[in-house]
Amino acid sequence: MATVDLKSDKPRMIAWAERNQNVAVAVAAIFILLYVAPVLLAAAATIQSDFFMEESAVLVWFAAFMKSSEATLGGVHKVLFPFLVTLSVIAFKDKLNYWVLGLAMFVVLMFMLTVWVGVLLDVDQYRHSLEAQKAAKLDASVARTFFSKMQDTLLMYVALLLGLSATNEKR
Amino acid sequence: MKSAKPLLLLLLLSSVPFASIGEELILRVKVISEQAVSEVNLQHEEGVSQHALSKDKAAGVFVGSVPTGALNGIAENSKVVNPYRAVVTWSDNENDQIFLAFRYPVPPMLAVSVYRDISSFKEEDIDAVDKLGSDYESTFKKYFRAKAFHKHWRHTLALEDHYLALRSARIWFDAAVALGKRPVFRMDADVTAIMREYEEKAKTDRRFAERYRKYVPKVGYIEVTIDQVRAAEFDFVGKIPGLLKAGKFDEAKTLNIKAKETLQDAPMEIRKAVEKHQGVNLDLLERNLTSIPN
Repeated sequence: MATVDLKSDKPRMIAWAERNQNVAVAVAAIFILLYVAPVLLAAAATIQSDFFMEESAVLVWFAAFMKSSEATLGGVHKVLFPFLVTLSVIAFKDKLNYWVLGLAMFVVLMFMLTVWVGVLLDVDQYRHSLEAQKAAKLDASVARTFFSKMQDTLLMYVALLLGLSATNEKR
Repeated sequence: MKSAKPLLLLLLLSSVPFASIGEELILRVKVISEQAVSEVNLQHEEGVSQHALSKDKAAGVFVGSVPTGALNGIAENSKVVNPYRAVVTWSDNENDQIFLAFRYPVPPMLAVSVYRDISSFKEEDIDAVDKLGSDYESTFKKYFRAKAFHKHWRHTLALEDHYLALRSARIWFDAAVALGKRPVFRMDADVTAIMREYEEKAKTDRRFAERYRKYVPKVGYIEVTIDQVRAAEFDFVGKIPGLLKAGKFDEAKTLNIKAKETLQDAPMEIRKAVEKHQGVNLDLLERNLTSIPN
């Protein structure tokens, strides 16, 4: 019976990731950081602007990202996730579970951060103080929708990591 | 010719009471608002007198003719500044006021404007208010629009520490000062209290101070400005040395007595401000009383 060498059909990225697992872990970490960057930006803007009480350069950046969430920046953000998932599966395969669990904890933390910022944007006071700013010009409802989508995605990623951790455990 | 003499005498006698009628203040209040006005009054600060203004539909303003004798405290030997306010009461029971300060002699005519025409409270809106000029009419626009903007942020949104609340308070304060430095107006007590509250908070809250100092960079600026405006009410005391030099001793003495009476009743901070800005204090006025020749 003839066998098919599946290895040879693997995309280059996967083959490379398998050979350089440590580098893949580092790249995955960078990807996750890039993916959650808007959340970190929003949290930093909230703190820097004293809960939107003053103008903030970080807030302006976050608002700029939100404005183009359906355009270039948003597109890049969406593309990051499939790459991150693929890379994670390979990078964390056979890795010690504390790496995977550590990452899952970090993602859960980011999830909590999106919840926190989302709730803030639901409070009338903060929404008004944010929306009145000329430089930021941020539509709070757009930001809330963005965070809501991001929460779903982050939870999916946590599920994936936990699944991976369970598979590693069996091996 | 014989019959003309009693007629002339009658005319002369009849002109005596009409002399005081001629001394009246015509107050015109222009109201710019979508909101209906229920009444416009000229009120004494302590509520001892009130004069209703009627609407001149053709001109679209509220007009009142008040004999100066009917204005409380406006007499030659009275206290110098008599606090009044023009109050516009809106149909929703809110009101807007212009703080007035009459002194003898009262001007025959005073035209003021009240604006309640701001309904959006974003940064662009306060930018537009800030860009208004510094002429008489624009000062009213600035004053009422900045005040409405600030009150929206302070009371409706409960965000009195937001940078737009601070910025609007500063614009309101500047407009109130610009009005207060004019002879017939005085400083708005509300914005004075608000700015003092901010100054106090800036002493204890570092984060707030950083934000507040973008709009009021100099520590102590608010108090100095308030003192200047309040001292301006006493600018007449600065005329005493000039009158003495000109040999107008009777006038100088009358003014000296008025100044002394007024300053004696004034709080210490006002006395200090008058001394600083007008160069006159109670000791000097006391010495003047004995040294001014009769």
